[in-house]
Amino acid sequence: MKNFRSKLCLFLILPVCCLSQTSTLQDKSGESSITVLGNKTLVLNSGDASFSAGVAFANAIGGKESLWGIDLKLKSNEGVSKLFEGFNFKPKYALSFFVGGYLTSHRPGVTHFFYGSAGINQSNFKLYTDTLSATLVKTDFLGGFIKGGYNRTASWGTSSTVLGASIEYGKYDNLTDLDDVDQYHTTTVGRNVVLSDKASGFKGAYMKGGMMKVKFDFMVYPTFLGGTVGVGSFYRGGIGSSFARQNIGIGLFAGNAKAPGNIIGGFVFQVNDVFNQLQKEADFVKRTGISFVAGYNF
Amino acid sequence: MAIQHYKIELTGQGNLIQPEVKLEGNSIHLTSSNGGVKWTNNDVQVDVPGQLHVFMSCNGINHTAWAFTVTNKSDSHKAVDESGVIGDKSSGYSEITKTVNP
Repeated sequence: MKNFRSKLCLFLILPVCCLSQTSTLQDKSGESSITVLGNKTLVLNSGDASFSAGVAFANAIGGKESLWGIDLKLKSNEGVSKLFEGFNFKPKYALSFFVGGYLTSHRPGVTHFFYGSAGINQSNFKLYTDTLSATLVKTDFLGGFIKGGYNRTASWGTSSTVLGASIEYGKYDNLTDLDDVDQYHTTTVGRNVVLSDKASGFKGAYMKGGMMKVKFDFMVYPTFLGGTVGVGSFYRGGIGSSFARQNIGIGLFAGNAKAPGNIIGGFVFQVNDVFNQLQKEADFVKRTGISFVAGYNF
Repeated sequence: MAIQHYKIELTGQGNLIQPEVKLEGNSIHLTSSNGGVKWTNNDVQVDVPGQLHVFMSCNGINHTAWAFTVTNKSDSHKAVDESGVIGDKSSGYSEITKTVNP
């Protein structure tokens, strides 16, 4: 019954979210502290195989603007192609509500935006238990978070800049740190071994708990690149958890010629666990990776 | 003294931040249902004694294109029909001031 309610909730929300408001300036995990550039956008992120969408409303009078809306992110724990496999709808999702307002700025071209948001995230997956039976055990996770953030748009010479910073506290898990594992039923036919009934899951020390996250993003749209290419950098920090780590990265994003803030596509180079806090991979190079982001504005 | 009814539309190709529109010096309430790309007010009543004084400003990322119209609802003529790009006069900012027939 609990599962049915979750599925029903998602299917009711999805049509609304086709109007979409979400930031395309995402890191490998699909996260960002920048909210002000979101509009009617659908975003695909290869970094965590996720799809993001949302809806937002705004009003303004006398140059004072307020903004509010919802964001939804869906991802498959076993790859996008398996999202609906066997009619077993099993995505990981995060749903959040945000509200914010602009401070009055006396400098043309400079804006200050503060926002707050809260949300839930849920996932279900199979966890490999390293026992004699070696089974994949169905595991559910339900988390939530509250977040406060600040965005500033300004200029650096004739180049536009966007700064984002946010701090949040919530309950998270370390599913993305675990290794993929496949399990098969084997049958020996003569000299052949037949693999069947494949089941996928995760293997490793699964942990969950409270953690504080800090995010910084900075984007600049250099004039010498025509102003339609954005160069970004970011920092993601975790505090207060045994699976907290620090990630940094840079990104290059191509925007629409008449709307540079509307990202068409981009790639992100990210260094995961900069200080090797997780002690999972000693080789620094192996902790780096490139992911792609594709956005569509309509 | 004549009360005029106007429809106001400020449409960007991307987000337009903190738009401000004034008719006859009065700030106009604008709403957006898509996070700040298209801003509208479908019925603005203004007392226009002579020429109509219009002011519009908005912020955003440089090169973001915008179009601004003020349409008189009595005869559907566009008292103001302007377009431009953010940053054309000042980085991250656009502004127009016009005095037109109402």
